[in-house]
Amino acid sequence: MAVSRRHVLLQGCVIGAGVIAAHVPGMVALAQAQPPLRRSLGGMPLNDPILEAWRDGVRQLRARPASNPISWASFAAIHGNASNFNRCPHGNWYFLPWHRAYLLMYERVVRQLTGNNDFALPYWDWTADRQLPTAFVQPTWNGQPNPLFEPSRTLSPTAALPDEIVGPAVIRQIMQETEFETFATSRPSGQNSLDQSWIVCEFCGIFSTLEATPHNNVHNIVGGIMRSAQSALDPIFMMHHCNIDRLWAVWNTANANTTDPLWNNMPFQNHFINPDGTPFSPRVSELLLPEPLGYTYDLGMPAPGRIAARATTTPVDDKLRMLYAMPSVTAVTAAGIATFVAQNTQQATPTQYLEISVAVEANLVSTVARYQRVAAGAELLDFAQARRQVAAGPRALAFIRDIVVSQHEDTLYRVFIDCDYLSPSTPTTDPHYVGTFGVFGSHGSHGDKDTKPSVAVDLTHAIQRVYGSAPTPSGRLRIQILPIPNTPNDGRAGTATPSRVEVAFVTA
Amino acid sequence: MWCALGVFLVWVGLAAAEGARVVVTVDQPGDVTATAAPAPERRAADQAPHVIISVTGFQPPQDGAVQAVVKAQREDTGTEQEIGRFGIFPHIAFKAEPSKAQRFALPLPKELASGASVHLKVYLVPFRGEGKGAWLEVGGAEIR
Repeated sequence: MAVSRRHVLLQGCVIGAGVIAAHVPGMVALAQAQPPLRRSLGGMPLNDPILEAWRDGVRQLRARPASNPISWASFAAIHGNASNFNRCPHGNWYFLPWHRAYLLMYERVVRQLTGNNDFALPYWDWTADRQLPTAFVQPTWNGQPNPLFEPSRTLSPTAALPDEIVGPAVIRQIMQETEFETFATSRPSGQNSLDQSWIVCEFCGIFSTLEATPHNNVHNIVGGIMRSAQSALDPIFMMHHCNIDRLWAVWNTANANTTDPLWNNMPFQNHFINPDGTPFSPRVSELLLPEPLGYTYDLGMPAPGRIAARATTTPVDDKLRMLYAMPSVTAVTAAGIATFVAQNTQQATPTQYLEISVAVEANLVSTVARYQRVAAGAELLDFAQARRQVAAGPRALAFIRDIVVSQHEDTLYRVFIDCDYLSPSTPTTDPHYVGTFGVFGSHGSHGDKDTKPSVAVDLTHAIQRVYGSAPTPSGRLRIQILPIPNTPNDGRAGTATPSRVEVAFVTA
Repeated sequence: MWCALGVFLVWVGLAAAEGARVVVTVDQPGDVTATAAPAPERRAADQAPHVIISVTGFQPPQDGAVQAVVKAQREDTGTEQEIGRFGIFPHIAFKAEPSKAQRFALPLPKELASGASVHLKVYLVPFRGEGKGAWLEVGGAEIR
């Protein structure tokens, strides 16, 4: 019978494993009934204790000579050197469990070095956060060299990973695979034993989309050391692989791993090192679930078999309905709703975007920015649960009222917030991007009898991307409207002049 | 540089002479026909079909990085439909015998999997820059 997350949790293996392992320094987390949570870097403040511990751990490891088996250089050398992989499997079905154990090695050592037993590696959810995480692109931190900065990267801090590599459609396709070897990369061609050579028979299986597309390409696009076999010298490596590991855990909530003994019984003999310097040689079967290993992900999932779409209504839903029903959100007075308005007479044109600055309460922006988002991929397996998580959280919306438009049939109206570098070439993958609206039918400057369109856009995710890791937001939100041609090669686009923008914050 | 270009041209010529291998550059996509795998390697009836692309050689660009984009030709309309894309990691040059090829599985939409074969076009697309100097050698493709 395939072991599932549910089985392990029910049988109490987490606590059992913890009692045994608690005597090893850096592995106290194993003894905790609720292991530390691996969190997304998105929305994580730069001074979050997790990031501080990771910086401190990387700094200490870097300071050790390569001759020390517990050092940044020697750990990276386990993965590979400038020209070749060393012990890490790529292109075969040991790719996922090997890297799970490899990350564990770092996680446990950082716990020991920093004394932070609650430390768990954060992950870079590149589907939700397309740019390099802020904490990794600053050369200095608190006036000292930032251990998480790697100068060889070629991906600009403002460049975004493209949809075709990490976008929702790619993740959806990955999650729709139901067979382990198609999801995770297949077995080595011809494997007939548990000989250790099968682990490192490079590219001897068939790459899955998970490994070939987001995994390989994020390595290559980040560039510099990350493109090479010694990529583990770049601290973003672990956050990238942590997201791969998370996607495996997400997939496992609905799909079983293979039961083939050639996979399950393979030991990674002397591949890794415990925090006390002893060898860490787990079998694949010991690496199937995060919790027995001393960490967890917030998958927000009910146990398999209980996944069902359920229609629910939350208090936030009711308030949103009230806001949408009124001609002005200022007419709505209810607990948990705060509204702010800015009037406008200016015009958005293709060459000059319109910016309407709305005075708001900074703490409301902060509340929205810090709310824990649904991690990419999770919504695919339980949409209802993901929806509840989103619906229960604080929301920010902008109602763009009474818009006078021209040439709207040729035009897409893109909305951004607080983007200092906004231009027609700013992509929709930019973190400041809110959404795009179009105007259909006959509207605009034909006299007062015409009903002018109004639109509502949800600012929540953009606020979380822009301000999740930033210092306390200011007391203003700049709503920016940029008309662009809806036929790229045509070049024609119209204008838009809203009479006002109303911003509403809604909490449960 | 001319020397390298000369070697490359000679090598492309050799590859073309072998018949089975297709060399793809940023400027020159390659045509590949995927045929059904031998019976022992075919998928189970309840599994979705996949195209397996074998890559037997790769040269990264002088600057930046590239990825392969694979499109299948629809027989009914003649149009191309992307079925997947992949990167080579680590992004370094390699050359391999067919038995040591890097193989990539791409899901094949059911509407394209009805025949005994499917025509593919493989593109090499740069992430940044122009992808100068990059090439990818496809050793074959099959449907499983």
